[in-house]
Amino acid sequence: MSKTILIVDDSDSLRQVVNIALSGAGYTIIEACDGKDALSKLTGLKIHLIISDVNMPNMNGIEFVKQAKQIAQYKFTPVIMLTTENQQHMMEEGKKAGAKAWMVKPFKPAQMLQAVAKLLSM
Amino acid sequence: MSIDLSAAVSTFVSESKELLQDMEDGLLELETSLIDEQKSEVINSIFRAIHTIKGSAGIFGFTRIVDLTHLVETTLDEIRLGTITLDNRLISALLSSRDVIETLVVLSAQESEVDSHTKNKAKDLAAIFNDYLDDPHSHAMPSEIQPTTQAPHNRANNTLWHIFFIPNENVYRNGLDPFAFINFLSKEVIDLHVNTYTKTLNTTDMFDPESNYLSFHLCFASNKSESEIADIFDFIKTEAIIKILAPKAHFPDLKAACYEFGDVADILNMLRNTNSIDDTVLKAIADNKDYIQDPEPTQSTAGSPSITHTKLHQSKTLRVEALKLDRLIDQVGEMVITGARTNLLAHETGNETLIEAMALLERLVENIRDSSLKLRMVQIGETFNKFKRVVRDISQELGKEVELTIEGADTELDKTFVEKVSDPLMHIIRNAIDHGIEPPHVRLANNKSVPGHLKLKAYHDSGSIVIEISDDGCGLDKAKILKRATEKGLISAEQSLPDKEINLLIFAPGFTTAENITNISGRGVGMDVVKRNIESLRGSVEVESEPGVGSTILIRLPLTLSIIDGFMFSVHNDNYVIPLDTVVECLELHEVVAEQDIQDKSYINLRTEVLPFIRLRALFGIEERIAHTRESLVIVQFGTLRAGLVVDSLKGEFQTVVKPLGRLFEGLKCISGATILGSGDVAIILDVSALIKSAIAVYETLEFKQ
Repeated sequence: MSKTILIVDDSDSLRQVVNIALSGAGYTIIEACDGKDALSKLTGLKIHLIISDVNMPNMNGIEFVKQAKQIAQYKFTPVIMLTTENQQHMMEEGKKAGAKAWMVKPFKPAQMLQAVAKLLSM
Repeated sequence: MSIDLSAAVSTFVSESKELLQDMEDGLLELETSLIDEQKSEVINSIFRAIHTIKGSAGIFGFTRIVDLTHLVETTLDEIRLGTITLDNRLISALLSSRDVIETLVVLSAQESEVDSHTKNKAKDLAAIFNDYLDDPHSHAMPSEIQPTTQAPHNRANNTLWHIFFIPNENVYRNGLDPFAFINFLSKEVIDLHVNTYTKTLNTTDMFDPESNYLSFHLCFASNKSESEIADIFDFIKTEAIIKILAPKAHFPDLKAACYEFGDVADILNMLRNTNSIDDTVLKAIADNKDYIQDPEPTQSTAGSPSITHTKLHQSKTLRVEALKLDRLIDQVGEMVITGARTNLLAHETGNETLIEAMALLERLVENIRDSSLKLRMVQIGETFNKFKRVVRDISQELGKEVELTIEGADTELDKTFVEKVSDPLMHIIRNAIDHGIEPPHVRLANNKSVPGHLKLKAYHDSGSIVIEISDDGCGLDKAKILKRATEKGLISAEQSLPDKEINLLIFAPGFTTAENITNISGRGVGMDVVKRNIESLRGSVEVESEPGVGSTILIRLPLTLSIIDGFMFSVHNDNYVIPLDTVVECLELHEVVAEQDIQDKSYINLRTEVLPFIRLRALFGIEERIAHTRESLVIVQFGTLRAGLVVDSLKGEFQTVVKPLGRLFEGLKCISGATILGSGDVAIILDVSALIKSAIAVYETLEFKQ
């Protein structure tokens, strides 16, 4: 069975790129446009990995990850956070919230694939 | 691995456009007086917009966009931190950067070359932003106290140039040799060090002899400019990642480049060896985690403050291709016509149940018609908001101060109108600022407030939409208009015209009273186009003006173009339709007035009021008279004008699908389209505004000559 990945980002085009890259590699993708939207999609679905942006309207990525980790089912779901180079402090906060890895935007779709493969194989 | 991202690119374009619009709105908002809290919120959302564009552009590899957005982002970040004060010049620079980014987004998406004009603009902007970033205080307002804590390591103090040069896998296959570029560079610069890495070659069994696995770090001294160095790599830039860091590079750039390159430890070693960067900077670079942090189960710690976000506006909308909507409306139109026909047939059978079912169906069809027409309706606010920027730019260019107020932004009108009305509005606004609103010293002398006022207002008025553009400027100079019109031969010198018509002369082709031709207006093209454009939408233009107080231009447009509620009547066995909204009342002609009273007259005395009227039989040149027909009088209104239409008989309300007439009929006045009836017959749709005007014209020539 293909693994399911939830991608949370407020940029439509970024989600689309990640979606194209990851679904091309055989993963099943669920998209959400911000933290709130993402939480509403965490309802019993089996999700193997969450990729979330930090800077988003409504609910930011850090808050979303924190709340997601409160749900028993997703407590150990690995999270990749997407940040930009000038958001170093965010990385710390993301780590505290329970993110396992982060990627710095802009990244190449291939880098994303590598990171996902690495995390999912662990 | 190649991934087809073309679909994502088009998403990127529309997303960026939306974000850039947000940015523009935000910047304009910043110019108005806001309290500090609101200001920082707006700056935050502008920052986020640029940030998102930069992130996505990076993924698509649109380096030009990344470069510019990066500068804008850094500048905005400094504004956020308070190290740079947002002044007028900076807002202007940010606004034009918005335009340049939009151009770059469009060009990058089309994969077309960036023209030199845009390149230069981007360069100029970069210079302005760098200027601010280099010395934030020189631009700060002296009265404001700036926090002295400047970001400590925003600039690395490297004395040498560093280039991270990563040719892609296919570089040899595409006929380019990276070493040729390095060789060339070595001749141009002093003391070139080359470090070569083979990181991308993971296993030997994957080795492809035609592929490139090398990447380079180049370090040298040179007093060339950044663009000169960049030009050396111009030919290979599409085949490689090239990060050029000039001496005293922007620190985040340097750091990002190191991490993008991959082996940070190697690079740090190398940087240390070249002695071009001091240790604190090296430490700052080293103090970072890799892209993928080592697995380390951490639990969330509660209690850290959550960050609230605001977005300038968030609308839950669905983007639909306009063509699809047009097709839907076309089909609904066909359905309405077929419905009318079926209804007719049902009535012919006399079958009660069938007729009842048909009535229900008819109602449903009507609902579908209304909702599908609503799909095309958009709020005019978006169009109005566009003019905020226009007003700002024009008034700055002319050295005038203008405040723009917008009313009725939520008024809805057909998408087709929005597109077509935008250009005419632009012309009118330009003219209002250029000719209408006086320069500040004149305004002061005339006891007016220094900033001029310009108002855009939209509202519904008896079946049409009215857009008002009013200013509190000097008003139209009637003497000047008449003089110029006579000179241009638009009117003869002895002609005396009512005020309204004098005002309308400004819409005559080639007309201008401006003595100096400015960049903005005065060439006498435009206003006649305005009138023509609006009339092509079955609308009309009126001008009201009072010398010294201001002028108002009224644009009146019909509600929709495609399907209307019509009112049908017949003249000499043919059916005609007019928009139901224009009908005021219907009367039996002989009950209102005796035939002999209106013989050879052009008006009816209706309840002691003068009502110009027109006999459609006469208008259509039907000579044959049918004595026994009891003629009806339909009183119609368009705008403020009223007239009566004398017709043979009334047929009542009728759902009308407007079909345009061919070019053959273009020159015909009083006819605006045609429609197909349930019976399959064709009925002509009449242009009420033209009918009223011709009735009034006849009335005026007849009555005033006598």
